[in-house]
Amino acid sequence: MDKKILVIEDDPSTSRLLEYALRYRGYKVIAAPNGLEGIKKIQSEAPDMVILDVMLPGVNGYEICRRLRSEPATASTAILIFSARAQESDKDIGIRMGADDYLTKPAAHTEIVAKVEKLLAKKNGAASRSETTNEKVSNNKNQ
Amino acid sequence: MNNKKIKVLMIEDSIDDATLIKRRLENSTKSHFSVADVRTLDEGLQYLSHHVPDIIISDLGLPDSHGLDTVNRIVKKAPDIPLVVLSGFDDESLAIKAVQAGAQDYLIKGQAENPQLERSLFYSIERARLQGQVEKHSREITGFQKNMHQILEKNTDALLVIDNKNRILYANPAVQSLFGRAREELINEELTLPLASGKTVEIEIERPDQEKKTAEMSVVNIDWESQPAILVSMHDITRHKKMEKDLKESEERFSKVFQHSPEVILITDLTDGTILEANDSFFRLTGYSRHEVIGRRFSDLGMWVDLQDMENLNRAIKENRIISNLEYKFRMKSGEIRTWLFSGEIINIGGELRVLSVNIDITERKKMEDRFRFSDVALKSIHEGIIAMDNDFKITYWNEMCEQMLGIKAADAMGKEISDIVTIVESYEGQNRKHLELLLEKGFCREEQLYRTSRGDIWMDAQCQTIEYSGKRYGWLTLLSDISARKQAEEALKQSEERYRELINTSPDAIISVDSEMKIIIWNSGAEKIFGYTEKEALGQPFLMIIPEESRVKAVDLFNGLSKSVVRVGADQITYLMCVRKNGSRVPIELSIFTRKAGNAIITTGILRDITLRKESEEALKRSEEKYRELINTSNDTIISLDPQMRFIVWNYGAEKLLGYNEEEILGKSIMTIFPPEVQKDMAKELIRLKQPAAGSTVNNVFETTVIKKDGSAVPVDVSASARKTGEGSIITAIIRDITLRKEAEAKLRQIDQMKSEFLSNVSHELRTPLQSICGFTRLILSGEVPDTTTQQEFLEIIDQEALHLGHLINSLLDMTRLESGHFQIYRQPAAIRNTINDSLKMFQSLARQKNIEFHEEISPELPVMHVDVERMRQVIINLVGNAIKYSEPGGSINITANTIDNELVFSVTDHGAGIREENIKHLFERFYRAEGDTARGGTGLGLFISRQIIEAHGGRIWVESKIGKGSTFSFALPLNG
Repeated sequence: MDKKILVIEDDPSTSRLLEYALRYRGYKVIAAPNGLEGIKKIQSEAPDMVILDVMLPGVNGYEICRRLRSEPATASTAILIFSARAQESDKDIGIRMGADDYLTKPAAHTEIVAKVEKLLAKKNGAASRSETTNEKVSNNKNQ
Repeated sequence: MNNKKIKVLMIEDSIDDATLIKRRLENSTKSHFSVADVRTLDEGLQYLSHHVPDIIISDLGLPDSHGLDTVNRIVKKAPDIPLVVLSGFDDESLAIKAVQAGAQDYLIKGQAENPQLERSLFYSIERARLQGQVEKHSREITGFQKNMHQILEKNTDALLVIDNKNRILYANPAVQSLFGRAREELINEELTLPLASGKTVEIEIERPDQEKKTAEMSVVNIDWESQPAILVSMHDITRHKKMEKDLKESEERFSKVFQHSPEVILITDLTDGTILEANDSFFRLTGYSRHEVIGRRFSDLGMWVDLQDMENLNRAIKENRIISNLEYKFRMKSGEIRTWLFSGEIINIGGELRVLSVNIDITERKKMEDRFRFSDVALKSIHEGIIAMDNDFKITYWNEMCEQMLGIKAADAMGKEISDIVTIVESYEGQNRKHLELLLEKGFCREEQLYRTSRGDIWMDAQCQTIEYSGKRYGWLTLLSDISARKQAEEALKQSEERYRELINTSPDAIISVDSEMKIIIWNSGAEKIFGYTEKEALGQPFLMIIPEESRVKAVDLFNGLSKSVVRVGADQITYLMCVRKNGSRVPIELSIFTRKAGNAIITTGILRDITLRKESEEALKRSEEKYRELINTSNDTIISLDPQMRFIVWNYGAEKLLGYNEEEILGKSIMTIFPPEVQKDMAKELIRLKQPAAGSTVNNVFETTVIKKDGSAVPVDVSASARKTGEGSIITAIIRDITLRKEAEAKLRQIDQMKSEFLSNVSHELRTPLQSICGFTRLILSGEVPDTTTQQEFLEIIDQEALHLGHLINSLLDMTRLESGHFQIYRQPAAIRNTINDSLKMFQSLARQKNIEFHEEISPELPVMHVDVERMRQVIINLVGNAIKYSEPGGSINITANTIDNELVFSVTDHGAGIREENIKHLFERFYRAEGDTARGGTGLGLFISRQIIEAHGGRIWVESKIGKGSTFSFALPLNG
């Protein structure tokens, strides 16, 4: 089963980059350009993972994090914050708000993919150990 | 960049690899590379000592260095030159670590000769350049701190910045004078003062020179060089404290003198006579207790025996301000009436006119004087007894008066000698014989004789004289006056003197009597004590011995005057004079003097009271009062006092200056007059708390609050208050200090600090975002994950676009720096403004398409050629249009117009976005200002600020009109001939 990843990112270029790099590795990727749309898509699409920018128009990334964690349906969704806010304090806030990991821009797509794989594997292992975790998407499938 | 020769230093021990890369670079069609290649790190470092290549390519594994060590040593030697490391195919993780350690990029050997090599080099060089600029800018940003430093440096309060381990990071010059130590010495020391956040506390500082300072300290949390820190601000209040102490001492001294004076001291209200304060002597003498008297009037208590006295006294003091020694009668609580001597003066206490009086109870003295005052009953009888005798003392005439006085009929007396019919009692042996001898010798004799008759003893004043005519004696004539009544009075006096001798002797006042020769005849123990002479030494001595020489003439005059006015027997006067003791020292004396006739003698008696203590009390009282008043009135600080009902009783000049009310307006009003409603409740609590302590002790408290001036404006203040318990409740005295400047400085400091850190954070964010795309897509393409050439093209376009964006950002930062440093300039040249506008708009075509935003352009074809800085104008237009797109929703539209109106070019961009709130519009063109909340779209907050600077540099103006929910129009106007 392909994992579904929601990218909430207002910078279209970055969004495009994430989309491409993740799809290239076989993930199903959907994108939202702002917080509100992001929350809607989380509810309608129930992604396995959310990659979140912090400085978003409208509802910001921390707030989305907090909302996801307070809803039972999304409490265990993997969250990776991907932000240009690079201070330690920003990371602390992100983690406190419930993010699983924090990655600072700029980052190579390989770094992003590595984090995504790690988080999904962890969530997978924690959620249901019976499921075959070997479905690491390493096949060179395009889009 | 492609035109310039790029100098490359290559450190590679494998000749094959080196040759391969060198050839590849030297044959590059994209740029000219000149490659210097060396084999070992040592050689490389030596090369770097003499040359500055544009980029270094280095293998990680060299004969003389290996792994990260290689990177570290190169970066240390040439931190500003970009470094690309070469790594083995199997060692990519080491390469990534190398990048973390400072290398710009890494290349995998074997792939090094592919087309990515040059691109990687360009990219590394460019990235290093950008990083260098960003760092440079960060350094310049620290210039903002200068502002903050200035505020810290100029502040008169001592300011310290300490880190979370209480280490001192910064100390301003004022710290030196407070701590008595050089500020450099304090840096890095641990601050040992107790820090209480949010509250002003009083601290003691012991300086190395032993001087002690008192300061008020408050702390606020701030960011200091991006670290959380604490700003400790200390205000030196040593002088205030000392003043408070002096004030207290002065008051204490006043109160001591006041309370312990043996004289009755009273403070009364001048206008209505209310008793405001009275000392212990008053209560002791009158028998009243404090609560019965304070706040009431003497007349209410029925203490005036004669209301006329009261009126006289009031009138006299109002006319003269000072009166002394007015005598009046006062009724004690027991009903007893006593005589008091009043000396008083009008003084100004806390702006109210009061009467300060010293009252001496002179009842005893009066009594004594009355006793001494001898009422000289009419002794002068016109009825005298007349006896005529012949030469043999045989009675020849015996008048009726003699019959009445002696009870002997004339018929029984005629022809007999006096001694035959009455017994003349001798006062001493042989008196009668002596009397006769005198008579015969002188022909005259006058004597007081006691006649013993059948009717009893009669004292007679007997005058006997010869009756002569032409030298011949015919007989004797005796006149008799009955002086029994006088004799009895004299006897009574004698007894009374005995009775009062004790009183005289025990009196603390000196009682001295002198005879008509001014010789001392009475000298009591009081006189011994005051003057040092014993009774034995003093008796018989001239009174003048206790009068200093310079006053003797005056004393004699006084005495003579008194003697002459003996008719007014008993009339007394009170004088002040300086006397001299046996030991030569002077003593101020209040003298009450009167005379009496005692028998034939005139006796002058003085009651002399040592008034040293009173003089001193008066002096001390006056000094204390003056000092107290001067301290309070001349102080620039606001000093106020409150009575137990929280009404103002002291309001000094400083208070008037700070709050605008003058004394007259405010005295008697409630303290709440100066507090705004929202703090009144807290203040009431605070003041009540102040009044809690046990009697006698004082409590000081310092707190921050707000007061309201007469004109209604609010002032933040520090209040340092203390309460002193008195019999009637607590008197609160407070020093109020305006801390507006401190508050403003603190707020400004916080604001600058916040703006600076926000700005840095924004810049960082804005730079990282395009960098993410540039890095990300470059790496993606490099990794070979984008086989499709159309997609490759798309990604390269993104990279190009983002690099351009990054360039703009950096330009903005540089503009900002130029504006800050005053180096911003425009270069005007003639330009067809229409072309400039159209060129700028073209740039947005693809972005507008992407966001599905429609442009409506109305650019007048008749725009003239203008003298402008074309690049700068383009920058403004791009900024305005870019903003409009940024704040438009997909599917929206943007109107762009350019016309000449009234000799001006007017350019407008209208979006249909959310609009701008009224309160934010005025900040739009300020630097660092960015929209916040749900309208936030990121950005450095520099765009509109720079646009405004550009337009204003061209002599134009820029503005915005906006409606919430409708959208905004940004416009600028430039003069056509500008």
